[in-house]
Amino acid sequence: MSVIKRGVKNAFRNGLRTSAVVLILALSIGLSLSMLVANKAVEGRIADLKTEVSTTISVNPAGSRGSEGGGEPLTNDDMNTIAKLAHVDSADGFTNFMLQTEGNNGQANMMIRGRGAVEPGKTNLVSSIDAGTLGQRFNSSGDGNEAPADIKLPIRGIGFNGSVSPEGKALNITDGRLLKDGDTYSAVIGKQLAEKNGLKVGSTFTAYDKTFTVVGIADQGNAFENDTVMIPLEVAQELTGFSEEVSPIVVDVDSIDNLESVISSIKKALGEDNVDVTSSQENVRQAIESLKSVQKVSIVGFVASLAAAAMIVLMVMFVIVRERRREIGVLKAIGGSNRTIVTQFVVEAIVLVVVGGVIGLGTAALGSGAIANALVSSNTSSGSTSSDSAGTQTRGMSSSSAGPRGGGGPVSVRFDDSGDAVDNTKELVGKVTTSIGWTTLLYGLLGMVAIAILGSAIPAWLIAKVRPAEVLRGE
Amino acid sequence: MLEVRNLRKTFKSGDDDVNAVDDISFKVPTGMFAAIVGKSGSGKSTLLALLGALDKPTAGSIVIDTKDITSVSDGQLIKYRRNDIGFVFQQYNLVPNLTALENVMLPLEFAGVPASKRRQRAEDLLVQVGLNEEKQSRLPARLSGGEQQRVAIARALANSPKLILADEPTGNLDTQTGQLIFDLLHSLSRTENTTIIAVTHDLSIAGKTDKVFKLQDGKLTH
Repeated sequence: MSVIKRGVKNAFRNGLRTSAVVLILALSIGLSLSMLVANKAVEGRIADLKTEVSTTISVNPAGSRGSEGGGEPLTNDDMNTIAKLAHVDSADGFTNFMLQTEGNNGQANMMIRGRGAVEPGKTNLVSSIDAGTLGQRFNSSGDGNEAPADIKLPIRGIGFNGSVSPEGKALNITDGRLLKDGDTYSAVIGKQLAEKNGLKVGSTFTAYDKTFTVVGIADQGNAFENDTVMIPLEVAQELTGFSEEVSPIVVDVDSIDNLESVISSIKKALGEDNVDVTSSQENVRQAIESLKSVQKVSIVGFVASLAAAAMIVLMVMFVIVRERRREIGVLKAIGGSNRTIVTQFVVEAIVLVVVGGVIGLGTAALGSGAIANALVSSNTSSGSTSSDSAGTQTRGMSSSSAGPRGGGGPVSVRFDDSGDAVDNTKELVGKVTTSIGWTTLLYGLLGMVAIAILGSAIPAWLIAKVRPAEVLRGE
Repeated sequence: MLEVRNLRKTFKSGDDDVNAVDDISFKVPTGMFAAIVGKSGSGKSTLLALLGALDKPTAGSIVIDTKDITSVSDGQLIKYRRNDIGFVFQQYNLVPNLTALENVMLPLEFAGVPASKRRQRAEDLLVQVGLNEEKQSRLPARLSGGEQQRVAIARALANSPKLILADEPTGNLDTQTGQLIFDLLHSLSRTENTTIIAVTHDLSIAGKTDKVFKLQDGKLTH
């Protein structure tokens, strides 16, 4: 019988004790593996969330949203300052304008984001959106007189030089190209607007008494955004008479992990009282932060469970070595070396841990999902919060970052009956799916071996200390 | 030949030094069956531990054939215990969850004897001490005291040691069984040409050995 076989046999020498030890170890190792599985699952969910969301920040004049509020306008200098901040991939300023079809019977002046009531520029384009009831209502004079039945809706105009819309969405160019440096009277046209007016790349149209050439057609996936004219920022500023002003500035951050620090940097650079800096991804960031705290908890749980298992093995082996002190002495007296005897006891510990580990693995396979979701659930908040910085999207035209007519953009905040924003972190996190992969098994195996070795270390030292002469003295 | 020269073992007892073995010298020729007798606390077991390299002396030397075991490394002492010494204890000290056969195979395993040869050697020895095949597969708890001591003797003989040290080998046995075990040891010393030194307080048994050393307060008196 080899030392290995003897170690294995010894592990089952005391059936009752072995059963109890294996059960406790199984719970401990099972919990440890569950924590590991939960950690991996949460890590995967964080990665998914990061890939699912964009990383944009919207900067508005403090106290201003759309055509409401006050404060000082943002400038090109502000945009350039932001562009130079760390972790900022791009900072795009926007200027909004409205185009009214020549000969239209709509309002003489229109509320324009960051402009107030201004006269829209004239264009030969016709909006692709039928006025309908909402159009009639929005374009009524406000003195009780309804808008004329044949009203043609104004066309949304945006001056900007980037590739991301004010809603934080990348422009989806279906034909032609984006605007680029050096463009002057060039334009990217929304798909539906282009179709309505028979425009293609290379076609021309007039606005503000200037002739623009269509260089690209964009499809943003909704009728509102596809009824837009996009021209270079500087040209828009010049034509509207608001040179140097931008509103809003949309900032693209390199990683969602840096969202918070960039928001702080912008506030610091432009003055906390001068700007409102909000991220439509705030909830996602909160969700990720929640998941990260779950990750930390799971790591602590993993280490604590592993340490508990090691302590159990240590105590058990300590008791076993004390019990078998005479036997150890005899083995030494008949020629057993310390190495051989220690190996025998380490094998015994490994057997206990492996049996406990296998049962623990089964426990983890069954329970890790529930544990992971319980951890996530207890670490993600729910309920009402104020709408302060939870998102930029609220309701109605005046609050939109998109432009004068509101709507559009990713709506990440819901509202309860009292009008408060509802924190939907829990919904964003969703359900965490767990699975025990090879990596987990490998870590688990390494953990088990570590437990056995750690648990046997002190008993092994005790074994080495046993002097065979004690066998005779005990007679 | 076993030769003990000026052997001393001193223990601390509070502030005092106690000589458990005090300047002992003697010789035991190969194949002799010798007995060490003395009252409890006279130093018998300490002397046996020193002879078996279970403990290190404070002074003096123990020479077996030409090798002084008091001046060798710990590793060499393990080899010495493994190859040159066999122990028989009063309480048998068999490993309880190993069968009689497996207990006898243990020293052979420590000595690196191949598994197939281990089994054959262990079976032969157990037959030699009077245990049949059925009893060879029993755990120690299912053997009588005398049978357990036979297993212990077979285990002591496993690696054909030069010296067998027996600490009260009949102390836990009834008179008749004790006599049988004593006779077995005696015959083995003849057939195996093995030197046997047995500690005993049973003078009737000691009287049948080739030589008797009497210990009193750590000193040889006879």
